[in-house]
Amino acid sequence: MTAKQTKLAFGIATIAICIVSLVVVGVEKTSMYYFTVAELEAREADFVGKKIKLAGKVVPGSIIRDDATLNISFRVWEPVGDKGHTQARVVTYKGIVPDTFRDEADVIVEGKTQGDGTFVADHLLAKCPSKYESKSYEEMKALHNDKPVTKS
Amino acid sequence: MPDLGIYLLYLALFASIYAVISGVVAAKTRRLDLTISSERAVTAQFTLIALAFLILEYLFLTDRFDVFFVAKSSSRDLPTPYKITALWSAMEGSLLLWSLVLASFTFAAVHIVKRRRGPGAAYATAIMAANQVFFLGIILLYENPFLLISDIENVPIGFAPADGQGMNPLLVHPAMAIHPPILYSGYVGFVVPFAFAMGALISRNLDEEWIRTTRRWTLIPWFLLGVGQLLGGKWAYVVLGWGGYWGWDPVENAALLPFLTATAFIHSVMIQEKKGMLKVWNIVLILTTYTLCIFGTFITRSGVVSSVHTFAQSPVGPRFLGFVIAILAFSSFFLVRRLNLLKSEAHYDSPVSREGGFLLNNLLFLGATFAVLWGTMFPVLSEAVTGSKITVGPPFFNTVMIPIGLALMLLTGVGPLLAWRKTSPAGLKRHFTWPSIVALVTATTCVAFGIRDVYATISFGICAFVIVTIFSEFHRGAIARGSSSNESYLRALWTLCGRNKRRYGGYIAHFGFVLIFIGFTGNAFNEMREVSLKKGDSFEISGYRIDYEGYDFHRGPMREIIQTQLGVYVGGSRLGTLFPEQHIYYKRPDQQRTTEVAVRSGLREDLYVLYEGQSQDGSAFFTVYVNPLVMWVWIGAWVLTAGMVVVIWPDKREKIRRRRLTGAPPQTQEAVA
Repeated sequence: MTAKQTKLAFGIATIAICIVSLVVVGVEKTSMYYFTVAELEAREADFVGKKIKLAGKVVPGSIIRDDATLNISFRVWEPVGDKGHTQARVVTYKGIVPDTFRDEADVIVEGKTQGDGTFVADHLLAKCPSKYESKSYEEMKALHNDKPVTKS
Repeated sequence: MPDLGIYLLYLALFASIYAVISGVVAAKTRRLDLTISSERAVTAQFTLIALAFLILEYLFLTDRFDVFFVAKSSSRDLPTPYKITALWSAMEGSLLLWSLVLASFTFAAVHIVKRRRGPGAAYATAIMAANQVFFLGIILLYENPFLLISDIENVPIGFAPADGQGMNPLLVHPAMAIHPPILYSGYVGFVVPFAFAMGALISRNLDEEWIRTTRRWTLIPWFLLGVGQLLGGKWAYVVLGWGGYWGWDPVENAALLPFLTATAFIHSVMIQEKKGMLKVWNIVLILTTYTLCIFGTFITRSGVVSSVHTFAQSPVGPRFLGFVIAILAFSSFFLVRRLNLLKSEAHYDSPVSREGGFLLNNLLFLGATFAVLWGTMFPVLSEAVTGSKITVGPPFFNTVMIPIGLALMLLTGVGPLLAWRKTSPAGLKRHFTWPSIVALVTATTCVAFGIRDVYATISFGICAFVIVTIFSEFHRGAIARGSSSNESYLRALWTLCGRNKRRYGGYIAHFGFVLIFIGFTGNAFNEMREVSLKKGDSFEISGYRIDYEGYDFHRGPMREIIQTQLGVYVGGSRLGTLFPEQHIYYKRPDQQRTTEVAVRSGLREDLYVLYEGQSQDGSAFFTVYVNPLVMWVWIGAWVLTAGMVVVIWPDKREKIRRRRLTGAPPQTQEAVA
């Protein structure tokens, strides 16, 4: 290797190391664990006070909202088997919620678990799995069942 | 009619298979008749797919709701233009559009490079046709848009929605009508340089010919991919209503990845043209770019990473992954086999040179690609390795990409002014004294005006630096030309650009990127407030006072519209009125709501207001954003477009130069053999 080539290799290595360390630091600083309600139950102790994402289903009838202050509290759980579900967990949030946020909606909240069964969220995403794709046949049927159905 | 569509697609599939076989045999035996035959198969394939596409459009326009795909993505009351675009609003039709774009590129490429027939071009034809075989196969086996409702097993017999289910209202927007075709053209267009690079590898004709042939074919998809993304951003900004235009969502990243590697390619190609260096590297870049295009399709259509806008999970996901792996294996095999033919013709001299600049550019773009890929796939990888899902979001991408972006922007100013081989200290001083002074003054002014964001200050400084270098290049060139030819300043500027389209068009494109960057930098100063207001209430955000003046309710045949009215004041004087709306599609089973954002756009900032609904006691919810400098992103996109037009505009002088270089175009039997 000539001196020039050594220098070149050295320069390239420096830049590569810079970028890799940027990525490593970025992941360490910003990554968040993603749990479902059941997963969090199992590993709660390690994650009290750490920012995480939590996914669950809104317990029907549990949404309490104060429209003047935009404070919201609701409970989430995770369905287990056909009828069962995990323990519910209280989530509090402040802000405007999307229309898709309602009873039984799948939600992902970002925030901290307090260790006492409550979760303080600072981001809320109500998942609507079919948002960009069309409805299922059942729903199409429901939509049109008030009309005479003909086969053309 | 739908049957005819299916037949046409089958015929197109056969034509493509024939084009693959005849192309390969023609390349191996160097038979002209077979070469011509494979070219005709490409024409046939293009015609057949275009006809099938038109038939599907016809089914949409005539409301044939017995066709399942039409029934689920269109409706009788959809305005006619959107009946046309509804075709690509869901998976099946969008794949057919993809296939049509692929067929068009193949057709155009094959017929334009006819003048330079040879084994390389014949292999390229076969490779493009092979890609078409894959897409047609996917469409016919899994995502056939022509199936009748009565053909589908799990639909109740006799069921047909009389008026169609309707396109998702979010997609009823002009930007959404043109964003997919443009983005697809970007993705698909890379098949041409990919195929020609592979053709050159397989046939061992590894001189600069394939690069010369495909340079323009790389610029066009590169540009379309970029503009397609900006259009998608514009749509997200005005329709989705979350206050931004780019969210580092996996699907957005999927389009960004090939754009990054392609940007690296269009730069490093210049070194190969000028110096015969980086040959392996360029082939790797173009192979990577096309692989990332298909990989992006895989991400979008498989649901493997959770994203706000993936299509529903579909059986085509694993097939696309298989295709990605096949492309990787196929291209790496030939690359390794031909490594000995790809020797560099020159050596690298000094880091402070044009070559050094390009090298750094490539490293940074590759680093950016790696970072984005890593961040996008991290949740999947972490789950596979550790068992728990760890997510990274926009903060990760901002942490990593802002420094890389700033370095690239700085290089945009420095690189083009460096001399080939080695730049003298005197040259450095001559070129960079004034830009550096202006950059420092700009940064100091930013601090003096109270900007405390470090990155934003650096960014404005760098943008000023680059703008000065670009304008001084134009100025210097015009002065030099004016003094030698006695032309007026403007006239000299015009001839200068006309005679060096690539160079000056490139500068204009760079200038567009600087403006886009200025727009990005505005994100550092975004403000957001969520408020709940009763009629007559007001609130303030960064100098604006906003009054809630009431709302109107209107029930139409498709949707209910709630239009709110807000008065906007600055310092006591009324600037105007904003009317953010909410639309409720009460006929849809999901009661889907969409918001119509009200935006007051200016060069300085956007005031962006969303009406988010009402509480039981009658107060209205609003989310209000003040987003500085957003408009510069769209202005930059137009400047970039102008630059691309200059670069791509056919150049008579270049044609003559090339003809002199390569001699008469080989079109006779002997020349091919």
